[in-house]
Order: sequence, then structure tokens, then C-alpha cells
Amino acid sequence: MKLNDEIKKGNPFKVPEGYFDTLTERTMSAIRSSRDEEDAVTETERPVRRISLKPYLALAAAILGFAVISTVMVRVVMADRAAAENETGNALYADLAAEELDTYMIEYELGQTETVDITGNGQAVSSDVIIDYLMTEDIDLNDIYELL
Amino acid sequence: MSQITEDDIKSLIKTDAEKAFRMIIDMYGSKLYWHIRRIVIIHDDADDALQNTFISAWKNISTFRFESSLLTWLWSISTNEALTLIRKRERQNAVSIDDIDGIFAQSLEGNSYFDGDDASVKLQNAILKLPVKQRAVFNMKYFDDMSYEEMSGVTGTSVGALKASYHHAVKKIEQFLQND
Repeated sequence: MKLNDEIKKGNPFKVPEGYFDTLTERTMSAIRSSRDEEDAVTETERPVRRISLKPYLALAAAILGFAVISTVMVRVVMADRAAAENETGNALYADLAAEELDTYMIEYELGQTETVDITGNGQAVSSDVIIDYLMTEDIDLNDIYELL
Repeated sequence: MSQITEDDIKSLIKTDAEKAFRMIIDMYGSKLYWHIRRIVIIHDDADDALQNTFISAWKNISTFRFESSLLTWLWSISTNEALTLIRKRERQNAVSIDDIDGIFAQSLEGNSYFDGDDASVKLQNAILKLPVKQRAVFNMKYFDDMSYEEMSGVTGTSVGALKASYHHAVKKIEQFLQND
């Protein structure tokens, strides 16, 4: 069965009676409610910002802050030393989260792939187009990598 | 009264945002509704996604530079809202997209806001078999007659990939209709 030959493009869906007549009013009302909610959140946040710490609390916070910063700095220095001793060449990927690394690897693999003629009419298709297409087909990035 | 244009809205948005927004809803509300409805199928869901589309547009209109058309921008937001809503339904029901489509297909046949003939029901069921992003691509081309360039602006996908996606969607639908 051919799509355009046999089936009309008509709209089979219906809406409740008068739906579009009230759409603008209902939508503006929803927008106002959303705006009011945001304003209310902002209002409740303001007093918190105005609260000032009493002097002894400020002093305690300063001491605590100093202790935390000192501890963190000592750990960072120790970790750097340990890393410098044990590092075997993975520095390039050190800051990448696992997911970013996956994407990086796919992009790297694609970079190695030459454009191919999959249409049979001499038109080369770039890897960008192929990966975009596969993503509209809801294919997972990891699966795309496996297919390369 | 002369036709309101996007240029009129662009000028008005700076002086009377609320009035400009009413015009936007009057101009594009029904168009966006039908676009969303074809993706999410159920009227109440389409209504939710449409409201969210306009709320999101209201919040972000100050960042929109009118470099693309306002309709393309709204189309893009509404597509995202529709896809987000489907994923939300999937999480709420703890079922996969395929199962969700089965639920939609059932609701289609017993839906009081659906009055298509048998061929329309078959076509909608076939469309529901497509992956959700490909469904949006098919609807934009087949029902809304959008150009691939416009669709590319809406989806952020390349023209070549959209052509391939639409071509395969048509093949899948025809195969489904053949076997059904």
C-alpha cells in the first residue's frame, strides 16, 4: 500500500468543543500563574539574604572555613604528589566523565571513517549525517559505537 | 484589519509583552496544538505540552533575537515539550516507549476525540510504531508540509539525516500497512 495513493492527509483528531476559543485566555492565565509562582519564590528568598551573622557565629564560621580549606589544600597537594608518582599516561582523559569519554571515542572513531557512498548514485555521505540519522532512529550512542 | 506579521510582534514585544503574546497565541496556538497532538496523540497531554510551550516561550522571549522565524522557534520548543512529555509518561508508567505506543494505540481506537476512518486509524497506528523522534520528523514533513531546511532549524538535525529519516519512515509505514 502506497502512503500518498491510498490515505488522505486529513486530520482524524478532534478537540473538545470551544477548545480553541478559550485557548488564549487559558494560556495567558497559566503564564500569569507561572510568573506569580516565580515571584513568590523570589520574595521568600530575599529575607534569607538580609540575615547577618552575629559576630561570634562569623568568627566560628571563619575558623571552620580556615580548617576546611587547610585540609583540602593538604589533600590536594598529597594527591598531586601521588598522581605524579603513579601516573602512566592517562592525563588526556583524566577530566572526562564516563559519558563524555564515550562521546569522545565515538567522535574519534568517526574521524577515522572516510565518507562513503551509501546511496549508490555517487553521492558521498558524511559521518555527521549518518550519526544524526542514527540518533533520530533512537539508537543509543554506545550502540552506534559498536556498529562502527 | 490588516494581517499581523512577526515584525509587528517584534516591535510590540518591547512595549507591551502581554498583548504581543496574546497575538502569538492567536496566530500559532492551533498550529502548534496539532503538531503536538500528532506526537502525543492524547488531547489532555497535547494541551499540557502546549501550555508548557507558551510558558517556556514567555520566559525566554527576551533572549529570542528574531534571527529565525518566531514560528520555527515555537515549533522547536513544542517538539521538545512533546518529546519530554512522552518520556515523562514512560517514567511514570515504568514501561518502555514501545509499550507506551501500545497504550496510545489502544487509546486511539477508543478515543472520543478521534473520528478518523479505518485508513486513518491504521495510518496513526503505523506512525506510532516509529521511534518517537522519527515520528516527529514524519509528521512535520507529511502533515505539516515543512521543508527540510525548516525542519533542520526546528530539530537541529542535518538536512541529509532528515531526508534519510523521512524516507525510512515512509518505507516502514508502507510495510506496516501492507502487513496489517
